[in-house]
Amino acid sequence: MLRRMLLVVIVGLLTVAQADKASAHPHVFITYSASVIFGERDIAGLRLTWTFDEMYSGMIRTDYTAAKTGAITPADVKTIEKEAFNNLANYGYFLDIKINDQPVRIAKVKDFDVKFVGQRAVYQFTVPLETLSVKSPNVIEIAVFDREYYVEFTLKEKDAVTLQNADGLDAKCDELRNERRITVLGPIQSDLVVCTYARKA
Amino acid sequence: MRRLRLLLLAVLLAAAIGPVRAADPFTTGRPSDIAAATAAPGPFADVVAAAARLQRDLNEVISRRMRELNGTHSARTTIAILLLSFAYGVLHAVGPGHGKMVVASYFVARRERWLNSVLFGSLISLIQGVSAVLLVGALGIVLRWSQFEVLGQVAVVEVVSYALVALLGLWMLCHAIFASGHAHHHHGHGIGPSQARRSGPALIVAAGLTPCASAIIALLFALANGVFPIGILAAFAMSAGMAITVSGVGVLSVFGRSAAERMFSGSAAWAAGLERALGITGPLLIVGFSLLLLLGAWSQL
Repeated sequence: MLRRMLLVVIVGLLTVAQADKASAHPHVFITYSASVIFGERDIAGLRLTWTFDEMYSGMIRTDYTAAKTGAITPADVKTIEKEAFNNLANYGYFLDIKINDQPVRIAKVKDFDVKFVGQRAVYQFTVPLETLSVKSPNVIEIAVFDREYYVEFTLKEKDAVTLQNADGLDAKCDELRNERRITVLGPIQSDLVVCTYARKA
Repeated sequence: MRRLRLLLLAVLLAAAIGPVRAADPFTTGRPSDIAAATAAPGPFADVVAAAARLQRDLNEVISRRMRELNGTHSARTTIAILLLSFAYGVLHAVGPGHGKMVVASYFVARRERWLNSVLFGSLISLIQGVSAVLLVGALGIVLRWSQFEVLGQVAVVEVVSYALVALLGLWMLCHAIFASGHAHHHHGHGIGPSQARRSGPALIVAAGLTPCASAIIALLFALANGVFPIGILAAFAMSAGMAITVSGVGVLSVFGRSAAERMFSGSAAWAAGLERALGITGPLLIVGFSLLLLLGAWSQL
């Protein structure tokens, strides 16, 4: 009887815990695409393009651009970078990148740009990368994910990944959609880009 | 009534702290393991991902329709917006917060009719809608704060709300522990009926204070597009949708509790033991969870 009661309490606890945790809770929706940039002998970086949903784009437009329609100015780009992008450094720009199974810490990104396409804000920025311990072939895994689930990231439906300057290498990329991955906080579902690259024989 | 006034005062105070912009990762804040742990999808990751994708589509259509509405005032478009917002609310409330934990714990602790849990959940969602409209109306329109400043206040109100819920939970817990010795056998209420009657409405208001960031974003979008009244309607349609999900959690708790009661109905002593155990477990959960959420919200301020 005692065991039964304990069971009831435990099941109850777990149910309530899950009731508040099962999270379909995004507030911001971003569709992203990636351009993998190669150098002569190695990967050189990643140019990411984030397209925001209209509502969040509207907030950026209302608060941080001088003109409310049409093209924005370089000064606007600076404002947006300062006010609604730079803080993402705290979050590692939501990037979860591994090269040859080694997690890559994203300390700095460069060449931030923003434009408005229709009503949508489109961010672009470059993540410099290098392969520290070379293998053949090398594997890079790229996921964009917000652990706090404030932002929902989805890989663009078509042409999500392009290769740039890859002539000197044997390189190819695969898009994996809605992959179940286990994190420290439990399972999550996210899109994944996996590329392999090696020097040509 | 006096308690209600105190709560309102607390919200006004919280809002008066100033234009801090918190929680929104693009503009401020830093990652927090606690916040992530309380928001991570967990074992239902695929359900969550599916719901999120649906929300993405709904969000897109709602924003397009709202823009269309500016200038046309078409009744058909308005109705479409309301229906879509309702659906968005149902899906959205599957996410963390929205008072589900409070509803679940409350109805684990007390034997109630399921209709009461529907009322409880619906009122929380309704108040959340009112809170969102008031926040955007007062700060965005009257005080002319910037959109991100208004959004940032969600985190501040969250802290106040979680703190109040934790206090109420603590109060319920004390009653459950000290009163259960002599009150638990009355009509099977885990906590004294008069005390519970008083803690119920206060809990509803405290849990309902937290506006939903998505409702705020939709209202700000409506405001920017010159259709704020439609935004208000949409926010309430969203609340109605969230009420479905939040009440659903309440109904599940009511049925779960009565199933547990049936399991132990064989012996009066065991039934009384269960009664007391649930009466203490419910408030304990409220305290534990709201403290966890409070820490998460606090760490992001």
